Amino acid sequence: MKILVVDDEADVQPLFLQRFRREIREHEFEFDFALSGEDALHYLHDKHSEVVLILSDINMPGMSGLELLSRIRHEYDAPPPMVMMITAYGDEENHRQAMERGANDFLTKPLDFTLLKEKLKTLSE
Amino acid sequence: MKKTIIFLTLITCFTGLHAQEQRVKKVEQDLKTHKQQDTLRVNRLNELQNLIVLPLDKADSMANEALLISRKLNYKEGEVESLIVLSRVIYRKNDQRQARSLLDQSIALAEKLDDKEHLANAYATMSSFNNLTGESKQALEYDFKSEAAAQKTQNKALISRRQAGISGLYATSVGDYTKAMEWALKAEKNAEEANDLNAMAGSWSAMATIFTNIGDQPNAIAYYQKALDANKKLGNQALEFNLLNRIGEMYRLTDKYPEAIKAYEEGLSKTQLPYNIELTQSNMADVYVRLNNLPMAFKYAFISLNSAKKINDTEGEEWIDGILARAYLKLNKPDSAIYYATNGYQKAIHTGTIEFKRDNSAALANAYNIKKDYNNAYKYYRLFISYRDSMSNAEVSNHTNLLQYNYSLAKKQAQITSLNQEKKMQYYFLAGSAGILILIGATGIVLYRSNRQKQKANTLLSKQKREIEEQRDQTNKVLADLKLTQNQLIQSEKMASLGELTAGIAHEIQNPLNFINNFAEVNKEMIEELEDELKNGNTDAALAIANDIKANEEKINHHGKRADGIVKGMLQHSRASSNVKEPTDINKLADEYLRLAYHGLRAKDKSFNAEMVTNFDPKLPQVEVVPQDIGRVLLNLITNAFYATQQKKKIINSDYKPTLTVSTALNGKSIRIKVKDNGIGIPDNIKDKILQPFFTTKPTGEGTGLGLSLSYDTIVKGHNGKINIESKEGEGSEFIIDLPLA
Repeated sequence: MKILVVDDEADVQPLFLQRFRREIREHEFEFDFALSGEDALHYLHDKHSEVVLILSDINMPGMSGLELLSRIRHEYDAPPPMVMMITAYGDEENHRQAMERGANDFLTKPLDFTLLKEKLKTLSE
Repeated sequence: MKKTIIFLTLITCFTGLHAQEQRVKKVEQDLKTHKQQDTLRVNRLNELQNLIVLPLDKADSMANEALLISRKLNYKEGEVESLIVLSRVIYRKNDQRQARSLLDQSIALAEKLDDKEHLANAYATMSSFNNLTGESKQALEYDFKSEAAAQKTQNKALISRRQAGISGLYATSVGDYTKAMEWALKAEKNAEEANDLNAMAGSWSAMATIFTNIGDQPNAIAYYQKALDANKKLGNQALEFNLLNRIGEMYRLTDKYPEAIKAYEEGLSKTQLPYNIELTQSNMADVYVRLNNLPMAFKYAFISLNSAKKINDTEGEEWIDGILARAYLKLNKPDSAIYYATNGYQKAIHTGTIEFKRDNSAALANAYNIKKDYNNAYKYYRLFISYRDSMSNAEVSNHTNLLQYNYSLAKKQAQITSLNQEKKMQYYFLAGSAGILILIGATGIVLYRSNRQKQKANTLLSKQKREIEEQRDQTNKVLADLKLTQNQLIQSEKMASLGELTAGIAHEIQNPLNFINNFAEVNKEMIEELEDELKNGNTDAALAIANDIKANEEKINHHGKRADGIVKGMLQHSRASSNVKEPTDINKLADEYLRLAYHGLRAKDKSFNAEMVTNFDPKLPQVEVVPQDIGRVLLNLITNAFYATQQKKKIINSDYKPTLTVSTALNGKSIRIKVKDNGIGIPDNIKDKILQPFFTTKPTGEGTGLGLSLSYDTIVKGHNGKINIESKEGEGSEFIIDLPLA
């Protein structure tokens, strides 16, 4: 299962690669990364058919995660990828907006990787 | 600065401003010829010490002699006086306990004798001892007792001097300028009633101190000059020296170094006392350090250090050690700096003088920092902070509002002038009519009548004079009140901007902390894997994992430092400005505050978003600025810019994309910082108002209206720079800051 992680913090990449190293080794998951909403759209433009799940931070400079979510829901509906939003501001308003714009799930920072792993595994089954 | 006050209190209190040179000669002559152990000798011995400051050994033997004789003769008044004089000498020898115990004895004796005049002097001395060790509350209590005792003597000149003393304490140690002004005015009134030029000069110099402390230089200079002129009539060189030294101090502390040097040099020509010479030369050394004229700085520092040692002026040594340490720091010789600062610091611990503990610990922190001995650097930095905070440094940072109340002052003064003119006119009229009357009759009746008229007119005139004086007093009080309020407002603006930062900082710090926790957990798992591989003998796999662990450790370290930097930045922002300019990377500073402002607003308003564009010149040279001050300006401009975009977003549809651009560039001999937004812009009719204090377009309670005016002050007055504003209503604004490189 191919997962695209969108976050402006570059160190998110090695962190995911190491947190999921067993799953990657066993080809359960495959990760790609984008450093901004704009980056993510570029990526999807070429490879949207491969990506099953998008994990996106909400609070990024430039295009926010919520905007990215709206664009994805507008432009890529066949097949629609799953989108999970991640934010440090785990407030009602963000949650409501994310759900309204069609997010599949909503996670708050700091990420609980055990929980995330379980969620991903349920999805991939 | 405190050093000056020390000497001033000593001299103005105890020499009682009567130090005419001739009297000194006469007393010295009497002491040489009159060796009999009688009350006259006791009185002369004490009088001399009240007139001038003697070298320590001589002072010691004379004070002891006076005490011995007065006790032998059972001459109680002499004993009280001798005890006070001796206590001051002992204090100079740094034996505080002994000094205070002698004073206690003199107070008890004076009370028994019901000798209010000496009681007032003893309490005043106790007050200055307490003030010298920073116990300003106790100092004030003793000064009140001293004034109460003086009141009972009915001696208005003495009362005036004690009131001037209280004023001085309020102005320099307590920082309550309103109270200081009230007492100075009382002192002036009593001095006028006593018609005592000495006491008048004392009250004027108290007022000058207040004006100095509230940053009103023109008035401070005016009052010092008044005191100085009065003093020239009295021929008291000792006081002339003190006033010149104070003027020098004022210039020194307001960075007007050439003027300071001039005043110090003139002061030097008025004194032969080793003490005064040392004080002045050490102050000159400090000025030369600040001027980066290190050869002159070292010259005066070493001369004055030698004299300080010779005359046992330990506090002087502490002060000069600190100057030398700073000079060596400028030469980048941290070892020498540590040598002198350690000396000064240890002595300051011994004498308990907070100011010099503070200065020397700051120098030590800097020196250890250069040596990369961060343990010690941190230790002294913390000490420095605690000393600095324990001193109530009523820091007057700028003059934004001076204009406002100068306006009301000018209005009052115009009234006073017109009243004065009226008074003059009436005077001419009266003189004229008196002349005519004499011409007409010159009879007794006419003379009698004219005399009565004159009396009436005089009553009228003195009534008017009283009114004018009352108005002047009121104005001065209002002035001091306003200054206090202004300082409180500036502080509250700083706190408000800190509040805006807090949320941003919390967010900024959350990310590195998450990384630290995550990578630490990953490493724990990987170490277990490493152990498994080693047990199975898979060396290559084990080495690969070890490499990953190492890389992760570096990341932990990196994010730890990142969090550390954020906390440091926050501490710097909340701290009162140190006013120390240091080479600063403006790109880094701008980036930091842009992020903080963004996250701060983001935390307050979840729907907030804006595109941030940075055009930083990578070749931008560092520039000497006070980083937290410039940071505060940037924070203010950026927050305003974001606010302008959010206002626009409320008005127009969702096609609008809020954008903020921060750029830096080298522009000739200055650095240009631009903060540009595409927000609502500034309407033409308020363009010339936005830099005024208290002007705000935000709803009541949201803005202090001080942000931009403080920014203007920081850039223009604090850094010799410029702020320009370009704005079109409805299209956006651009704030352009120019900071000169040198």
